Amino acid sequence: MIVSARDLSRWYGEVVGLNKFSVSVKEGITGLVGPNGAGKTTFIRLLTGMIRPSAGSLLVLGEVPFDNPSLKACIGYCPEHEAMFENLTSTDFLSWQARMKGYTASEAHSRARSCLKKVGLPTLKRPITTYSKGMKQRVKIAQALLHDPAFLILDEPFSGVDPVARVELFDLLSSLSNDGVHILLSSHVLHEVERLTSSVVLMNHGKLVYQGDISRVHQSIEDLVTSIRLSTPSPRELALLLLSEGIIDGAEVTDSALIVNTDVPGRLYERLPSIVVADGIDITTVEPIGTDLETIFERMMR
Amino acid sequence: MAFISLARFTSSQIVRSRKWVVLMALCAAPVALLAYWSYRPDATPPFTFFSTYTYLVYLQLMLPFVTLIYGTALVSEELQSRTISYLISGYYTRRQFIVARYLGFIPVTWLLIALPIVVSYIVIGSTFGGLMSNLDMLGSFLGVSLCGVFAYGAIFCLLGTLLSHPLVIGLLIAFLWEGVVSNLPGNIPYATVFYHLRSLLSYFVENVEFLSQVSTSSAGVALLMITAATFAAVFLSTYVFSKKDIL
Repeated sequence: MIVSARDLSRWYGEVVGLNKFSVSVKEGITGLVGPNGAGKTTFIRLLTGMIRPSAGSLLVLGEVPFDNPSLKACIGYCPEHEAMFENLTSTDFLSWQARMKGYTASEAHSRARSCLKKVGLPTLKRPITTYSKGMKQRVKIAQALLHDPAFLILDEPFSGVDPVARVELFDLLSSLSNDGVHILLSSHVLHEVERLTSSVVLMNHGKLVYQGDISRVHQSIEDLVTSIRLSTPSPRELALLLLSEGIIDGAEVTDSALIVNTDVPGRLYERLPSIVVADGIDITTVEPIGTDLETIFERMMR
Repeated sequence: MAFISLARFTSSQIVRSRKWVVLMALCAAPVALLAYWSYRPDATPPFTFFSTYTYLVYLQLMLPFVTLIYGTALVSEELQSRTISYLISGYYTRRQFIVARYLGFIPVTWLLIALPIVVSYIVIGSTFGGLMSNLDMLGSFLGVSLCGVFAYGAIFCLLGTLLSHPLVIGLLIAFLWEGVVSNLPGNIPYATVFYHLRSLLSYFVENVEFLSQVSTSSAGVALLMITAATFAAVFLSTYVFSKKDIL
């Protein structure tokens, strides 16, 4: 068992972050899915030892995570926030991170370079502050891989990543999983998680909604229509293309974005990278909108 | 290895920051005034002027200010910028984290104070003579300023660990408590760090004009009190941080 939480609660004053949350995360890739404010980040903070539970018990790889250096050696963590030491180059940032994990300066440098290569980033001599959001996301993932962790915790790893980079990240995570790394990734987009694993933990309002195979979730969302916002300089061309292929049911065009309705979001997500590469339409961000996930949770809880 | 790397990173982080350039300029500014004064000598003997100037400008003003800026930032700035999540992922405990950050802060912060003191000494010594014969005075100022960096650094590190916005209270401690209260008559000044730094200095340096007018303790007691304050503040910082939620 990778993670074992029993009646785990955490409150911040009068605000409840987690409420008697019990879950068992097994080997492989597990998706932690829930809308914003569901308690995903609180759970991840508990897993990474940044906060302590108010009640209940939590074991990660059989150990209590709070202030546990030996466990840190087994966990790689990619936070959701964008903060980094942005006046450093990515190589310097990763080298320092590796040195703080006990590597010598030369080992740290070579690890930094190999991890940057692994996430598909070239060795750049400019500071991180000049990087795009997608590049920063890759640097964050690279720092989580520096010490070859057995368990990788990724908080919203696909947030702000363009469709092509998203596919590369999917491939990277699949390959890490094939190499025996256990992965817990949080997301508020079910379809992102679905591309990597069928094992999901759904949570909402700090409580466990469902844990198990994603197929049961599908039964609940079959008749839901999803709205997705695609930021692009060519929204009309993109709308025509998607309508002609029957992937979307309707579209609303704005100056720099296209909001589409679809009942086959999986097909849309699969098609996007080839639209960017083959059809030459630039898509900068993909953002599901509306309350569909909350609707799913309401249905699952019935 | 990880612990030492964190200390080194802290030093390099301080030196790389824009604040470092600003504070370096601020600490260097009085040296320019000193150079100007050295060409317009008045009745004050040069090394009496040097000791009084160093005492007032560097020990009483710059030392608490510089240690306040960097000491409070050791934890609170990383918490605010959220970069703390990377720093605490290293292979050390939270208590070791605080000690490494603190030790990394000491040499580079002391450099900000020590360098202009040395430059001032060289300017005065080379202009008026006595460069080699007053080295003990220079050593005393450097030693006392190092003690001050240790003690103030620990106190302000504790403040940065306890509070999210420590600067206002830090300024009150640095300039009201340490600057004003340490000069009051009675026993209250005994509870300030500056009182003991001043006592230590008066043991080694005789010709600081202001020191003859204020009460001091013995050098041994002063050193003991500075050491106790330093250890107590570092210990409390490690304790507070070992229990702290990182949000």
